[in-house]
Amino acid sequence: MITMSWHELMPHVRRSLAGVVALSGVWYMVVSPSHREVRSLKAQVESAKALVCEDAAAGHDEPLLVMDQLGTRMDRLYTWANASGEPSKLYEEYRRLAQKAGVRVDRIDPGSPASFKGQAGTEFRGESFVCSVDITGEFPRIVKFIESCSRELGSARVSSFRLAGGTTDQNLVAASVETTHLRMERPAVQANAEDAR
Amino acid sequence: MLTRRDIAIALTPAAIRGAVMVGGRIEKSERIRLDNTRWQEAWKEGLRPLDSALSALVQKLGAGPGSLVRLAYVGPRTRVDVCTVPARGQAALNAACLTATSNWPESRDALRAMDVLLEEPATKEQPARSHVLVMLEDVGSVNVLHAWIARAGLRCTEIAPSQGLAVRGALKMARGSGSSSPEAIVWIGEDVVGIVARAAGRVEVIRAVDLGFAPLVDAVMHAGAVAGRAIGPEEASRLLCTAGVPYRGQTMDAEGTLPGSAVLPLMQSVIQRLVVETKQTLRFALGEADAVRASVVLGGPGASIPGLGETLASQLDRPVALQSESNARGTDAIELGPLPDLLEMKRGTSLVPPVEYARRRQRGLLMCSACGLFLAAGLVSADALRTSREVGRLTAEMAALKPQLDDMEARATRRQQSSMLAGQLASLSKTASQLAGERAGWAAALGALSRAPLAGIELDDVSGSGGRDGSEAELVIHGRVENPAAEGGDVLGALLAEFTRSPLVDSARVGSTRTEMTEDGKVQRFSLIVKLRTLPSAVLAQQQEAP
Repeated sequence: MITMSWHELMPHVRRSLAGVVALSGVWYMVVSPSHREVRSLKAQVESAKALVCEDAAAGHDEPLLVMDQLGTRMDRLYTWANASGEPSKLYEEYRRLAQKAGVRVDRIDPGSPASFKGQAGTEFRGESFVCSVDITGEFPRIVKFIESCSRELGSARVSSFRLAGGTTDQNLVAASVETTHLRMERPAVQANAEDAR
Repeated sequence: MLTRRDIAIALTPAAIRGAVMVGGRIEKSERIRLDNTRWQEAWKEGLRPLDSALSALVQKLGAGPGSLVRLAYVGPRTRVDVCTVPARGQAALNAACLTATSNWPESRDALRAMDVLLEEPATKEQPARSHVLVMLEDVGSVNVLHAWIARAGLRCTEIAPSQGLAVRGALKMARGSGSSSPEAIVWIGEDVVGIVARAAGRVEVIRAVDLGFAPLVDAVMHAGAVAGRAIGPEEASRLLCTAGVPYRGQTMDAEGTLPGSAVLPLMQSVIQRLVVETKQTLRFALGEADAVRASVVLGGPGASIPGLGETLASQLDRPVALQSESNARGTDAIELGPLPDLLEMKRGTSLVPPVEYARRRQRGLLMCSACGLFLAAGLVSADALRTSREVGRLTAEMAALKPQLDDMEARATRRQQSSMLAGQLASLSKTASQLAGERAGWAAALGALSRAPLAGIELDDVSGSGGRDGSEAELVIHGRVENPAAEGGDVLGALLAEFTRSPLVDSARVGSTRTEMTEDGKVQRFSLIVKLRTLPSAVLAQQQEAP
């Protein structure tokens, strides 16, 4: 029986080891990163699938619609709050109300505005001011004018009034009415949200 | 042009024969005659005296360096035997090996090759058995042969002793014969004879005898020399093939210079030995009855020698038939010698030189290493491919999910913005309500005043104030009642009652009253304080918000 010595085997062993090392290196350099990528991608896909399933199970609410509704409400609220917030437009408004009520406007005197801040944590800023209006008219019309001031000028409030003169319907009454007005500014964040919608 | 080819070479004392094999067939064959008297000497010198003859043969064959050679040879120390053992497969090989080493203890360290020639199933009388060819050769002889071939620029891959080929040839004939009657099949080679004894369809004995037709060629040459005519080996061989074994009175050559009577005595010893070997084989291998009636079939290159069959038949006292193939081959058979049988020999059933064996093992190891590395590289590639495909698949899957994820992200952003907007709206609503304060129903209170019975009452002044934030709405009425006694009843009470009937009035009371005496009589001055219920502005704001 002819046997092979270790000396004869050594070159083969050396060559094989070199080959194995080279292949391992190639695997580590070339294939191994792909394995890591696969693991990472698998995790991403699983996570994404889970999110999609969760989303599908939760049902599709429509935040855009909600945003629209909220925005509309916000707009209306601003419109209401700022309905009489511009002193320059206030003259016109009072004359319109006076004409509608049937009284005569003797004097309109918008006071100096005072700025205010909203609650802590909010960014609402604005101004408030008081406006004095002197009118003359029959009592029911004066009442109608005061009522109009409360109802048709948004957030404006009749803070005080004083009637002087006759107490019968046939007599004219002079009234001095003080109203409080607001003018609110829109915060920047809110404007951005509205842009998004 | 010399090209690398598969070569078969047969070395016998009389000649070196060579053939180029293509597709298992002999494409070209050549023969170089040797002086057989220098045979032993050549072996002693490591076959170096035959180098030039081999080179000439290789040149004639057109074989290039590195051509692979299967070598048939006649060696000085070759041991070939066929062991018949009652076993099959590997067990038969083991048993044959044991038998051979016990028969030839001196060959314990020799190179060995074994081949199961024939496996016979069990019968009622005999168990299953195998005929195993065992070839033992001295390592030194094999190395000499290998080196001899290597010196000619060729590579010896297998070495087959001629005895082994003779045995295979005889057995092949026996297999081809469909006869069930007892017979001896005698395969006659140049230097070896293979004999198979068979009865009842079973092979009883297979043996090789160091005998052949070469001594018959020598006999012709010697007879020529005696007759004063120099006959070379080529001519002697040709004369043997054409005239065969002569009878008395026959001349072997056309010129009539070589009478049969001169050749026949020289051939007789060879023929006699062949007869003896055949008879002994029949006697020892077959039963008495079978041995008597057994016929003889001749085959192999020697069978094509004319007259040999008849001569043997007369001396054996039994019919001698010629194998049909031997007749067909004729002179070619003698020219080619063992080459056709060498061609037909299965690979791996002959001796392998130690150098070749080591080379094969080295190559095997190299192949194993290469295969292993190739396999590993294949696995790495497959892994890379699979991973790459997986990356592609996952990337595509991720890309397919991306629109949904983007949509989800956008909705989440919008939801967050909605939430922020809702918070801002609530905050704005609260702030606006706080700033706008509470509202009193001034119109309702004044309306109640206009509806009240004011007969006898004169109002001097009516004022309303909501307080700081409108929550303390209060209507203050100053007036007077002229001559209250004349009015009869409680006019102020009636006025207060009118106010308290209104749902928007919280309370109504007389703030102060005093009676004064004037020129016109008594005058009651009074002030009424009417506290009004207020509503938060938020209520109004919500009314404004409502679509």
